[in-house]
Amino acid sequence: MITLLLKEMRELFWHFLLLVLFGLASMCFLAWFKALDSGALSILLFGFSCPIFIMIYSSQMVSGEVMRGTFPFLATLPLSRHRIWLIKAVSCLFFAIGLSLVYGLMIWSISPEMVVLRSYTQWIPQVTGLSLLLGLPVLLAAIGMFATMMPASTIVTFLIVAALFGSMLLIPYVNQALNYSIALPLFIAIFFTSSRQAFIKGELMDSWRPCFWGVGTLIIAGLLALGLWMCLDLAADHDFVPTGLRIHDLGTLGNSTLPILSGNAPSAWYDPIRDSYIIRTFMIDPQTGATRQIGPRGCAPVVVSPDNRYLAAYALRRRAGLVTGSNLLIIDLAKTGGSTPNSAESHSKSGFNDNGMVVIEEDDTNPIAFIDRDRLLYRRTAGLSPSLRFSEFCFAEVGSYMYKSQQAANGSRISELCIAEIGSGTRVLDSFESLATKMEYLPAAGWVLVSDCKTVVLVNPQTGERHHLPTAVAFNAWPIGQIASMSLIQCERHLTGSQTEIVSYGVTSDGALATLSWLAPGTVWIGDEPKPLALVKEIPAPGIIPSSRTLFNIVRLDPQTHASETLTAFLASEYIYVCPPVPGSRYLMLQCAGFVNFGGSQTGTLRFDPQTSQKDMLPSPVHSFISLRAIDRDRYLARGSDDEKSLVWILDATTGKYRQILESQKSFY
Amino acid sequence: MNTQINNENIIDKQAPASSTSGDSPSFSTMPGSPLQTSFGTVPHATETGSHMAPSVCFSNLTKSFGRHRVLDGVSATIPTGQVVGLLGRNGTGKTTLLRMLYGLIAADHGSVSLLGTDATNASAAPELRQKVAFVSEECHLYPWMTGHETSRFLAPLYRNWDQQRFTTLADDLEVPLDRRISAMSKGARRKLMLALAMAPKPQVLLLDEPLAGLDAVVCEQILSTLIRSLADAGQTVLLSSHELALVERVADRILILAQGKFLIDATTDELRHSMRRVIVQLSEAVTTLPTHPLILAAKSRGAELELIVRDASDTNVRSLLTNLQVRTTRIEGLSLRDIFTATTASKEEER
Repeated sequence: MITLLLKEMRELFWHFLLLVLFGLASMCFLAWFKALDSGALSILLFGFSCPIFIMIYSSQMVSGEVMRGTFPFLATLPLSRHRIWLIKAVSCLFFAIGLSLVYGLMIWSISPEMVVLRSYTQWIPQVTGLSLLLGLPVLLAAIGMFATMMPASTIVTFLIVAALFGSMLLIPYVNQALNYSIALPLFIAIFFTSSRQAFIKGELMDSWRPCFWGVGTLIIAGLLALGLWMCLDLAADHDFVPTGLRIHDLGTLGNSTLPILSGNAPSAWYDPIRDSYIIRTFMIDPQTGATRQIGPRGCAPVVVSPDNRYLAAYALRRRAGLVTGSNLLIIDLAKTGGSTPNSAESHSKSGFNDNGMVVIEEDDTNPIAFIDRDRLLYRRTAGLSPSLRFSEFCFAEVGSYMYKSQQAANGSRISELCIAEIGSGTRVLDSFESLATKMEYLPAAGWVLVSDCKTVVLVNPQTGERHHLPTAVAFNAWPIGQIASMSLIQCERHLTGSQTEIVSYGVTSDGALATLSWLAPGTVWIGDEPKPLALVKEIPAPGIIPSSRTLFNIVRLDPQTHASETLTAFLASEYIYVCPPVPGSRYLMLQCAGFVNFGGSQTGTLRFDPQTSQKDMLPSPVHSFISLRAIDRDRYLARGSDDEKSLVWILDATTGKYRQILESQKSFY
Repeated sequence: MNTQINNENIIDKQAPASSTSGDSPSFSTMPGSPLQTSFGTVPHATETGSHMAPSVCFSNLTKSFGRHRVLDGVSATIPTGQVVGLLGRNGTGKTTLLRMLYGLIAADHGSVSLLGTDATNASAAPELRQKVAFVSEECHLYPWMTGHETSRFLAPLYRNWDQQRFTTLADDLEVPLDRRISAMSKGARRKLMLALAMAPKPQVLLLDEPLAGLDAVVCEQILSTLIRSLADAGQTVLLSSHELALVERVADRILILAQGKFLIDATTDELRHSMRRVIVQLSEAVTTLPTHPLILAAKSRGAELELIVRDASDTNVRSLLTNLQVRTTRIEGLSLRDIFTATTASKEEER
């Protein structure tokens, strides 16, 4: 066996020496024209010479012997075909890796930083360093070793390489999604396996027999690799390392109190989707802190049905482990073991698969809200062209997972509800002339609030009826809560220059719109029971309080009389966050980075009892700001971070004690 | 086994036909002539004196290339030490058969056993090739190597490589070992290939046209120096060749391949002694050629009838001529060339 290897090495040596001389000549050539730099040399040697030489050499490993008439002698040696093939493959790899290393050394001698090689990272992010130096040459050698079993082997090699790399580069989602660390070895294995089989079964390699065996094995090995790829994809769906999670969002969704955590977890090494951090959504057991992943990876939590039964999420659409767009995923949490349905009402589950999921395969779908338990309102963005898109409001009926686009009153379809979304901002599709940037469902009123860069519109998802808010220019809108049977909206209105004004509106269930001039700008609705409570920002007179502090009043409002009663007041920094209480909550919880009036500036949670107007500070377990979400009347899910970690606690509002339930990597958000 | 011909007109019983090739007689096919059945129970070497286990045994070997069936269920058993000449016209499948025996190509059907080992099993091939050598018609050696380099390349691959034997053989055959193979003559390459094939002391030697295109001196060298010595040493040789006279000299047994089957499978002696050309002068012109299982081929020229007869004993010849108005009968011995020409040509015409 060694003797054959030595013979191959002897044949290889002269070719190799010639190509090394070619590399040196290239350097001299570039130097002669004063163009010798790392970039030019990299392009010349790594971009062209090295791949081409490897392809030519490897494609001649066996076919060259057949052409020169020496193959029958090789075939009569007292060695198994496998060994002969192995020696050929080793020689080929030796040549490919050796040439890459020598050329790499030449480039390194010009520019030790290998700047140009690094730039490949931007082009094919995972093909860097070792992959570039070894992975690609080995892949090319494997393709050559496969093609060398066939007639016109060099042409076949070039065609395969062109098809393979062309498809990777021309089909964007392939290149974007492919995990090259997994794909390269798989491709290499497929081509080497097919090459070996073609050689072993190829007899004297002078017929179509090796082609038949090679291509047949390639197809079978390709299918097996695809199966493996899909298995890895499924395995990666269920892989979760809590310590590696970077928490992105935390809390309860919509009207529900289901504790949900979403975060970006580092991809497993075997994850075929190339994404170093991919979003995952988990349910948290408030007692134990145990997390349970909902749906596959890439699933972002959006809305939960009012009874916590169904969760609608934006999820990656994957085919064979490749990111190809997005799906709307509706998950039956009861079936996935997430929670116990609050209602004993039975449901048709015809649309759910065995995993308790409904997948609506539409590109760019975003759940907005569950109109009721069985109907999900979502937005579908349809693309007329890459630069011209429009949105549709759709219903997904959970039981049957049928969707229907909303019909306008006059029977015309979509147009009344379509919102043109113009990528370039130059073409208008319909009368809205708008780009839907934000959509909120106002559960109390049953209307959808749609805002864009020019206007704010209320759309009734049941009837298609719409009302323009009488604001000339509105950049943003915040549904701030409800008072009596009226949903309240705050809009930011541009005045002149940089001046803006916040205006408030009330929307009733019949769509009647009222301007609430008696609400001070910046009023935040913080509770409804027993009487409406609001947080009102008071603009103090200059010089009275430090400029970095703002005076906030918690007031009780009477919507009938417009009378207000100030319950308490405190100084805090400009930004204060109110944790929306759930019905029956005893306390209001407010978070701020800098509270005053409590013995200096503090970071923590302000607990306010509207019944007694008593307020006190609950010290934060960490120095940084924490965020709260109510999970029931007395308990809150809290998230914060220290210098290194993100932490999740359960805060008992009655005792004011934090209990840590989860620790993970600090979020980069 | 010698045939006793009691016929006054016998001219030359043993002598090879002197002018058959010059006359190029064309034999018409005898309908029903069982050429493919060979010599009945005679041919196999186990029955011809050797009691050793067969070195080469293949049965029902079938091979097709596309729609063309090259071999159609051929079988033979070759005992150890026998030198077998494999004859056949171009394209009759001799090379295919030898390659299949050596495991270079796979049979569509059938089995091959070399030295008691199933040769169709690819995993057994490396071990078998330690004991079985194959020399092809074309030179496939690496042209950039010298003879010495080639021997040094091959030596570590064979357990029983005998460098001394190789050197001796190469010297005897006058092979210029220090010359690159690309610079060697065709004869020198062929002799080098034979020397390389025999250096590991193979028990079975498969030679595919070892004498093709070589001058008489080289042929003589190869035959006299090598083939005989192999056979004497108990080595089994299966060689295909078109050099019929030379094959006749060295082969113990002849296999003639035509249309995918063995037409003849007999020892050389049997061929010499039992096959005859019977030339009959009739009293009137021949209108119908006689047919009989013993008549392999027949042709007529006016009142002269020429028959190739197997098992040409006196009794058999007489029985064949019973219904004919015979004036004179002449029985001639046949050379291997005559037999080959007569049988394969007639078979070809039959196609």
